[in-house]
Amino acid sequence: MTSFSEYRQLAASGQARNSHEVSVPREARPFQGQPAGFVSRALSTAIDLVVVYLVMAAVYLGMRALIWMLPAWVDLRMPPAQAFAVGAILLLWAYGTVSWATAGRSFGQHLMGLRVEGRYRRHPDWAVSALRTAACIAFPLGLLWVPVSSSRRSVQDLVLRTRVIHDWVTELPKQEQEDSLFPPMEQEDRS
Amino acid sequence: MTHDERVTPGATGSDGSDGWPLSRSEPSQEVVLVVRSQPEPDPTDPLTSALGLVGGLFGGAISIAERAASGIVGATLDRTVPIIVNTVVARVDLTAIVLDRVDLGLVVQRTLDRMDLTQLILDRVDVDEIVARADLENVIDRLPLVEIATYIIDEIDLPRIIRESTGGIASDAMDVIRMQSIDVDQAISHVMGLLLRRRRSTVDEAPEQG
Repeated sequence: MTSFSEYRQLAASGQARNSHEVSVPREARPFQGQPAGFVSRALSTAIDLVVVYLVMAAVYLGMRALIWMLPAWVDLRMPPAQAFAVGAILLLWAYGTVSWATAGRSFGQHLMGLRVEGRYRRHPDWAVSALRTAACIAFPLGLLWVPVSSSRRSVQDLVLRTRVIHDWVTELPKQEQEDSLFPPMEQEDRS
Repeated sequence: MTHDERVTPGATGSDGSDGWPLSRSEPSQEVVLVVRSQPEPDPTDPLTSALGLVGGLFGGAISIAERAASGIVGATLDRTVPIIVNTVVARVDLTAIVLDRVDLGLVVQRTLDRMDLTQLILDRVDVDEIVARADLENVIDRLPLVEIATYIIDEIDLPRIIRESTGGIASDAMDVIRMQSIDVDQAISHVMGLLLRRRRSTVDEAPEQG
């Protein structure tokens, strides 16, 4: 058992866990911040694909219901399967871009406790996120490089200087980011 | 001895030896010492009684005089000494003298060495009263409450207690899936390391964490 005085010494040296890290189970704490492996990333990708598939299925069923409810004189037909495929790809691209640029993780990565880390920032910016999503859609086999890489990076990670790490703690956006979105009242009064 | 006795040095003792170490060749010379005993006073003698009475009266008078003189001197000292001392003290800076001449640190140190301060405080100080009068808000303001709370949460493993008490099946299942995927990834990294004859990387083993 660590005494409180010892804990304070650890805190002074920056080795103590903060309140967010404490919420992580003890057996998982050693892996926080470590690069994620192939299985974790593949499972998160599978969850994301299921999410996109469910959304596209909902769109398909919605359109079917809309056509069924419309009167007979309205000539509205279901789009071809290629259109749904393109829509699914676009949805997947938008989904990945927004997720990585804003939160640093998609829903699948959130469930698996993963996070995409940029080269200089906590998560990649919009351009890198868009490029990374496009690269993942265009060349999904790049994920197979993860077990081979000593740093557990996919081909997309190597090209875009990103990496996927274990991070089970979900943190809110920083204060400065909130300030940029919602300026303080004092600044508004001065203007 | 109540009567005169005659002692003759050189006279033969009862055992036949000489009483004084005189040479036998010297002619013996007899010396006679006469010790007169003090005659005891006769209580029936009027002169003796009168002398004793006079002596007793004289001794009593002396004793009374001594007592009277002692009282007069004491009263005089009681009146004069405070005046003298106050006058002297008023003209002397005792504080400066003590500070200059006395090793106060040594005095305090010796005093403290002789005292059991802990026992003294326990006997003389009402700690509960002091705590009752203390402004605890200031004390609390100086405490690192967040660190204390984080320390307690970490030590008692509060997240585990919450998980077990609330029975979050979904979160438990996700934690299990996450840990199992991590284990599989570790195994894959180990196998790939063996196949590629790669030096053990930092991700093969879980880092040590206290």
